[in-house]
Amino acid sequence: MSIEFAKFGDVLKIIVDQEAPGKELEEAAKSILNETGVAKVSLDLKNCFYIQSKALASLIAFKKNTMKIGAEFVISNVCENIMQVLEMSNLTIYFTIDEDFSTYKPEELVEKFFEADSADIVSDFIAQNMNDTYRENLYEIMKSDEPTLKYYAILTLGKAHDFASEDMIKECLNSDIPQVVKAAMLVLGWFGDTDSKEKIYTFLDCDMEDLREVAAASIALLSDESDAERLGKMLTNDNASVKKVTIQALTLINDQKAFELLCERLDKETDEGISASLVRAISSFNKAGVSDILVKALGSSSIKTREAAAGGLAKIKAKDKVSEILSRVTDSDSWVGYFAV
Amino acid sequence: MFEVQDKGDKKIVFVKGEVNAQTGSELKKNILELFNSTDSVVLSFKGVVYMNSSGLREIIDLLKSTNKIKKNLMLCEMSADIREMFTFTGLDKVFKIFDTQAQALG
Repeated sequence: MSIEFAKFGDVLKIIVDQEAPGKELEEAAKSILNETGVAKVSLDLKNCFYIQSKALASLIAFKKNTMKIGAEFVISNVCENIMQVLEMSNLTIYFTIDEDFSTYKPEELVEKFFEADSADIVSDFIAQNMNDTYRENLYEIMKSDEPTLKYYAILTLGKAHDFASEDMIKECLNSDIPQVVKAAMLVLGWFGDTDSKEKIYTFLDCDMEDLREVAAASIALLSDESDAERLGKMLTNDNASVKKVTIQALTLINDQKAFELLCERLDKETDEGISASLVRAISSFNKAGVSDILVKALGSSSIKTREAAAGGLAKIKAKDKVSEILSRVTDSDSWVGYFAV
Repeated sequence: MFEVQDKGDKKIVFVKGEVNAQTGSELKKNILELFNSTDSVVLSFKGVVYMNSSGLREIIDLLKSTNKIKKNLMLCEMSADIREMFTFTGLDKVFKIFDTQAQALG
């Protein structure tokens, strides 16, 4: 059969093969009129890679007949070539076009991990509809060395909270492929796998910015009372991006030690971009003294820092500092006045 | 620390103040109870000024429990700082996050 009909509740799915003859399409469109109890007809073109112009008339007939039985008509999984034909014929406004991954076999679906536009959506779809078949398929990919497939397989298992795959994902921390390590660190952070924390620490000062950032984020998610101190040592790193991710991680940890470390660093920091990040980070702590630090930063010689301080004061609604802020409005430095306003 | 409003067949929960281990755990417990009377809960973060990793862990745990009982949890109206925490940890890939309440309610 080059046209397959399948009913799921009140949804009729019609899956068309590339080789479906025009006559068969016409007959399929007519057969809709015999359907009862159908609320939606979905014409699935996942197997079609081009369309002849004469077949467009059949598509219109599908819609007309669907409307006659009082159902909604949707064309699903339209490839770029067919989309172009529909656009050229001004039919994209006539049809509702969507993506329906439920008709794909698991092995077909994971192939979409290679398509940049679809990979995340497919990963979300699999995670939301996780079953044994999808799981087995993803586990198979985990045994492979294909970086893109493995990256999305790990993320998908993470999104689906598939704790059974935890050991496999831990193994990926030893991979030579940065993309795979990155996904593994992220997911182990989501899983709360504190056993992996020490291994993740080793990526904190690696050469790759992407990995450093994910390592810092996952350590923050897995943190206990000892981690602020350990991470704090990275605040003196020569690399500005290492400092920035450390600040983000300490902000997320948000305990007393993290607060103290950020305040200490602000007093010593000479890079104005980092100072501004520190001020923004400090404004995210619900601690006594934050508004004083922000008011002081409002008088900084750096515009970036003053802007961060003004944003922080607005964020924490520092009503107790209104008179001090007002006194800055007439500051001899017009920028200080500007940010005070 | 939060208010609940009915919006059709969904419930919207306005979280306020700080989300930490204690408030996050309380929030989780209450939201899971709400799922006895609805299939979808939207958490509005409009009133959240502070959140830490312990609070975030509770929100992750809430999502895990929500998925287990096949219900829907959506998040919306986050400040730039709170949204940054989700992006930083990659959790923006895990949660359904919307800019506005209207978008979350569909």
